Formats: sequence, structure tokens, C-alpha cells
Amino acid sequence: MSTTTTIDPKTGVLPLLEGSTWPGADAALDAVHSLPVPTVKTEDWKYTRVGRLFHAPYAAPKGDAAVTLPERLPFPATRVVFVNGHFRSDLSDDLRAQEGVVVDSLARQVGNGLLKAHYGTLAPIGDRLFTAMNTAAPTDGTALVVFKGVKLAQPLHILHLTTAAGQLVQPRDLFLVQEGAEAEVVIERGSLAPDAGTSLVNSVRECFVAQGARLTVHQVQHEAAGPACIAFEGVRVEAGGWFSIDTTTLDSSLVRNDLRVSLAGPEAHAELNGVYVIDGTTHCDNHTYIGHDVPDCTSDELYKGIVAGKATGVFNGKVQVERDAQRTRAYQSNANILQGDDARVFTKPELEIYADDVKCSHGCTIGRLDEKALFYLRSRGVSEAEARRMLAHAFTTDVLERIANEAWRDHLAALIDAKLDAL
Amino acid sequence: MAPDTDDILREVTSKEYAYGFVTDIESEKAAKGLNEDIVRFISRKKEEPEWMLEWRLEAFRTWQRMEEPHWAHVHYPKIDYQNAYYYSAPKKKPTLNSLDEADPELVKTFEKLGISLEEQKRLAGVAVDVVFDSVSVKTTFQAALKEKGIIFCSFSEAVREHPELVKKYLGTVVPRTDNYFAALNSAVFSDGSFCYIPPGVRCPMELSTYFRINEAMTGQFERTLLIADEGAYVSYLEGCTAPIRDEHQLHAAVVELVALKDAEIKYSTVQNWYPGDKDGKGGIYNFVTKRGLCLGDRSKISWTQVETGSAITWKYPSCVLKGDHSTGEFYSVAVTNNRQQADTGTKMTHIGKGTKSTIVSKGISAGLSNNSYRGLVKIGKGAKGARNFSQCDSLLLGDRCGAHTFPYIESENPTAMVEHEATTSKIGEDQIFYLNQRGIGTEKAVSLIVNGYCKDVLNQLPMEFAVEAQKLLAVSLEGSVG
Repeated sequence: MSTTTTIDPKTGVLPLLEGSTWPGADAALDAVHSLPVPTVKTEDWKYTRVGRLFHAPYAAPKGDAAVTLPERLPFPATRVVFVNGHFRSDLSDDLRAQEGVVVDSLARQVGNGLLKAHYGTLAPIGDRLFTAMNTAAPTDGTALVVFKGVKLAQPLHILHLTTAAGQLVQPRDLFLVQEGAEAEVVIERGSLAPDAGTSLVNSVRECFVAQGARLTVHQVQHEAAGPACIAFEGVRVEAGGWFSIDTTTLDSSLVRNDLRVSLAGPEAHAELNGVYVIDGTTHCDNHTYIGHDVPDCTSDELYKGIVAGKATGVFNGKVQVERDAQRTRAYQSNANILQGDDARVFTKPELEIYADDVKCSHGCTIGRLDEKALFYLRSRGVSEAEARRMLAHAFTTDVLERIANEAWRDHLAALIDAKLDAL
Repeated sequence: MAPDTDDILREVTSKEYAYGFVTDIESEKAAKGLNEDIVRFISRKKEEPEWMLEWRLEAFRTWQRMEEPHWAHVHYPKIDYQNAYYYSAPKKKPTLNSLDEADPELVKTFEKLGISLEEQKRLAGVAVDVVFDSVSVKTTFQAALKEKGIIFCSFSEAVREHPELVKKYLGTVVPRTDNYFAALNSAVFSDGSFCYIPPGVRCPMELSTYFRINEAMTGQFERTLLIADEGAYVSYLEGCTAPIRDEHQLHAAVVELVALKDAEIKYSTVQNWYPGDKDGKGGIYNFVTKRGLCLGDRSKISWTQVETGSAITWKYPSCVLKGDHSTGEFYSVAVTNNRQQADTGTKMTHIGKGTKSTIVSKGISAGLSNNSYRGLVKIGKGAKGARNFSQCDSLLLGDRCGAHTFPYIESENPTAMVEHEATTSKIGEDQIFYLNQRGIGTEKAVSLIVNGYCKDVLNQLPMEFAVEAQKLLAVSLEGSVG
């Protein structure tokens, strides 16, 4: 028997998680104590090492830092600003402009009966350390409620800024889109400090899409030397509801996006899109789960990535069709281009199906740009670099074309092209 | 859909296992349970040299330190490894010179199984090694093979007669420490087949092993080692059956294939172990480790399997593509019905340059069964220009069964190309309707569609086997339209 006592690697974060008054914080803290830090032997974290995130102690995030706000989006949007996870009403737009819509700090609103009833129900703490950590002491986040039949007048733009090194920031959002309501949200992360890379952003978001409601989420992660981002998003879509998300990762040190969608009412639909164009030593891991819990739901998923330099791309997509979830249609696809001798891709598209009247398929590819297409372009006088850019652009366009908001699509295309030029 | 669907379904689920008879042959068993003495007993029974015993004991000690794996998508009650016999052999008879002298009961058994040794000998020209419970009973055609320099004999004979070959290759593809069941097998394997094809020889006939578990409460742990030396070619067939028993029986085999430079091995299996009754009572736990090593450049290993039996199948015939430009293939049809569970697939590990692999997997689930494909395609850093194509399809017959796909794909080389696609669906009602209105009954229509669905795999089987496989498919699934 070994006599060495092992030190709990979580000692660096535990002091920051104590004494929170958020709902369920005590139980979550207990869970943090009992859950181990995932290792490569933990199936869900097989390709993403998170041990190093626990090597140094973290400081509590500071919300009062002075910041220079980046440019606005090139289309009208209501901006909400968080600095190191803290809500900053002084930097945000007027959030009370629209009747039937609540946009506010979740810390302020979580005691509200409606929000409290939903809070924590889509983000179980029992088996995921990071969710438990977040629930034990959330920093703050956005509460969004769109009441019955109301359509959000313009997209909500949530901007998270990190200004310092060595912080543990734990954003926590709760979106409720009620019956027949519609909402569109852009979530953007930016870092303003060159050494923000030693910070950890551990976020949890819960989205409820009620009957016949529609929710569209656009996420973009482009912070060079930014903090490690571990994210969990739980989504529940009721009958006839519609949920769409696009996640674009261009720069970051370590990104892990867990997306768990439950199609809980007939004729609910989910659309998951993702683009990752990464280089350097960026590690980008997209884990998605789509649960077809009831009959007649549809889901469509497309993730495409270009992995260059020494970067690592990970995709794990699971579609589960429950017993009696008949007439399910589920499509999933993941395509990767490897550029650079040290780039790596690990992908695992999974299907778990317990009903028979279903049409499910998944496909995945890993390869390089089509040599024939390159030759074709070069034979027409296009330089090799330009030809590669054109083909890479075309490769990601498949995903962009699925985004309905044209203004956002163009904005994203410009960001991606700039990244491709820099590869 | 046709109104008789339910009747047909009922008929299928009540269909009995045709190979479930017990042969009344006197047998000799080791004491129940598993410990070092049993390992020694087995080794002594096989008149093995000291090094073999040591190898077994080392494996046994490794096994004791290991834990039973539970990551597969299968569920079963805990196995009591002490409540089984690890050695059972037909009572020793004087050495036989020809089949005529073999126990007539035994010959009858094989006739019932449809592999009359005599007939095979005359017509098919297939050399058969039969493993009955744990002991290799008869290897036919040995003389004819000897002429070519081919060694095809029982494993125990190989240990005695060709220790240098066994020592050189045993455990090089599936090490004793590989996994729980491989370690168990390494400790207690009782027999199996050994085959060596010398350089440049093309084996003139198909080699075949037939496995049968007969005794109650016995486990079968056979070990196959097949080596194709430079430029050699061999096609190898394996079949299996077991009698109907109420309790579960464990079958934990290890198959190791080694292909040297320019060699080719084609390994085909029709697995039809007793699957248990319709309530999931009894049946074989088939926990098998099969792996081929493409050691030399341009070597090729091809696995073809038709899995229709066993209560639980846990099997991943794999290829390690070490030689440059070597090729690995995996063609599989897995059928589950009633309460059967299958978690099967393959691992293709690309190490050498220009290595190629193809995976075609067809899963069919019916009744209350669960059928999973689990596979790994790994492209190493040095596997320049490697290529993989995988196709995994699942067909669901009935709304109480499950079909799952768990493919792992890892690439570390930018010049490699990997493609994977998978679909899950049920038999189209339009297809059945089309055949119905042309006067083909629903049952026949399903059989036609299923056979068409599996064609890519069945085409890979040697002819005699393909016929058997098609019959098996028909028996396992006849009419189970959901």
C-alpha cells in the first residue's frame, strides 16, 4: 500500500467556491468535493486534458476594472457587458427598452419565482465537476426572459471581457423563451490583457425554449492568448419549438464546449452548427448531445474545422433516440482539414438508437484540401496560397450558409477569412 | 404493412436454435474453479514444456490483478469465474489414423452440424481442425498440407512439435496483458489451431476450424495462432456452435494473425453460438480478442465475420498496420434477436506509410436486442498518406431493439484521409410493398432486402461459407418485420 497522501488538486479553487448564497450552492459544493478532476481515463475527457487548470490557485474575479469597449457589431443589437464575469450596467445599453422582455443580471433576478423554478434544472451537478464548480459560486450572468408571444426587437449582444490573469470567472446564464416567443442572442468573448491566458472561464448556460418558441444563439470565441474556456449549455426544447446555435472558435488556448440539447416535445427541432479554424497550440473540443426524447423531432448538426500548426480539434457528437421516439430524423456531420504535421483531430460521432422508425445518419471525414481542386485553380493562374484560401473559405461556407441572420453571417465570414489569411 | 407481420414475428421469436443438441460423449474434466493448480493441471494434461507453463502462470497472475472491463454497451450479471470448468476433453482414445476410427458419436455430431468431415474432405477440399469443448479432435488433410510445407495442427501439437515458432510469435500480437479476457485465455487456453504458411506458398485449400462447446458449465478458451511468412497466402474459416443450456457459458478466445512481407491472410468467421432462449436464458458469452499484425510491407489482413449467435458478443477483430503499404479490411454482419447483445467492431491502427483500411459493418437488430458498432481508426504520426474508409449501417426490425454506433477516429497526420459514415433506419415499407405487389410474401421480401443489405459483406466470404451465412441470416431473422 502506498503511504503517500494525495493532495486534492482542487485546493486551488475550493476557497473561491465557499460561502455563496446562490440557490443550490451548498449541494454543489459538496459535489465539488466528491467529484474527481477528469483525466484522460475519463471517457468524456479522453482527448482534453484539464489537469493543468488546477495547478495554480485562482483569484476572485474583479468586476470594477476600467475597460475600453470594442467596436459594436455591424448591425443593431442590444449590448450587455460583463467584465470578468461581473455585470456592468454602466457599460451596457438600456435593457428596459422592450415591453415583455427581461434582460438583467442573473444574480439580481435568480430569486424571482419564475427564474428560480427553472434555475439548475438543465445543468445537473452530479457527474460533471465544472458544472458543480459553477453552481457552487457563479460570478454572474444574463437572465433573459421573453414572455409569451413576444419577439425580441433586436438581437441581444452579450459581451464578456477578461481583463486580468489568474482569475476564476464563472458566468451563469438563464434564458427563458416562453410560448410562441422569439429571441436571438450573440455571445462574444474578448480578452483585454495579454496575460489573461492563465485565467479560467467556466460557464454554464441553461436555455428553455417553450412550445412553438424560437431561440437562436450565435457564439464566437476569438481571443488570442485568452483564458481557458470550459462551457456547458443545457437546452430543453418543447413541442414545436426551434433551437439553433452556431459556435465559432478562432482563437483561444483551451476551449471545451459541452452542448446538451433535449428535444422534449413533438416536432421540436434543433440545429447545431460549428466552425473551428485553429492554429498555434489551441485545443478546441466540441461535445454535443442531442436527446430525441419524444417522437417526431428533427435535428441537424454540422461541425467543420481547419486544424493547423500544433492545434488539436476534438469533436464528440452523440445522438440518442429514446424508445418510442418514432419518426425521428437526425443528421450529424463533422468534417476536418488537417494542416501542419503536428496538428491532430479526434472525432467520435455516436448514435444510440432505441426506436425503429427513424432515419439517422452521421458522417465524418478527416483529410486535407482536395489536391485536384488546388490543381484546377492553379492551372487557371491562381497562386497556391490564394487557391488554398479559396478552398478553405468554401469549406467553411457550408456551415455559414445555414445561418439565417445575414448580417451575422457576413460578420462571421469576415472574421473567419481574416483568420484563414493568418494561418 | 402486411397484416401477417405479427404472426411472422411471433414465429421468429419462437424459432429454436437448430444446433442445440448435446452429444453424449464421455469426457474428462478438471475440477471446478480457477487457481494456479488448474493452470498447472491443464498444462500437464497437454504435456507442455516448462516454458509454456511459466507463460501461463505469468498470464494467470496478470489476470488476477486486472479488473473485468465494463465499458462495452452490454449488460450481464456478474460472472463467477470459480463456478466453471476450465478443462473438458473427450475421453482419451487411442490415436486415430483416419476419421473412420473416430468416436461415431462425434462424427454424428459433426454431421448434424452440417460439417461432415468426410464430405468436406471429398468435396470442398477444406482442411478442418475441430475443437470440441477444449481439445482439438481431428485435423484433416494434414498430409496434403505437409507436402507444401504448411503446418496446420492443434495448438498443443504445435507447442510440442514447433516450439521455436510458437515461442517467437505467441503473445506478440495480443500480449497477455492486453485485456482481462485475453489474460484469462492466456492462462487457461486448452487448445486451438496453429498454422504456419512458409514463404511464397499459396495455401491450396481453405483451412478451417470448427469450435463446439458441449459439456455443461464449461468455458471454452481456444487460442489460434496463424503466421503467413513472406509472400504466403491463406484463407481461414472458423465456425462455432454450442448446445442449449440454461446457464451462460463463457467463450474467451484469442486469435493472433501475423502477416510478414507481401503475405495475405483472409480470416472468415461464422459465429453461431447458442444465443439463449427468447427470454434471455442461457447462451454463450462470447468475449473474444482477435487481432492481426501486418508486420511486413505490402501485407494484407482481411477479417470477415457473420455474427448471429451468442447471448453477448464482445469482439473487435483488429489490424495493426505496421508494414508500409499494408492493408487491413473488416467486413461484418452482426445480427441480434430476442435478448441478444452485441458490441462489436474493429480497430485499425495505421503505423506504416501508405497504409489502407476498409471497414464495412452491417448491424441488424430485432426483438429486444441491442447491437452496437464500436470501432477505432487511429492514424499515427508516421502514417503518411494513410487511407481509411468506414461504413457502418444499422437496420432496426421492431421497436423494442436498439442500434448504436460508437466510432473513434483519431488522426495525427495531415496527409491521411479518413472517411466515416453511418446510417440507421428500418426496412422501408415502400420496399416491402414493392415486393409484395409483385407476389413476393413479406417474409421472403424481408429476407431479400436483408440479404441485399448485407451483400457487401457476404460477397467477401468463401463460397461454402456464404451459403451457410445466408441460411443463418434467414433463420435468425425470418420475417421479423417491425
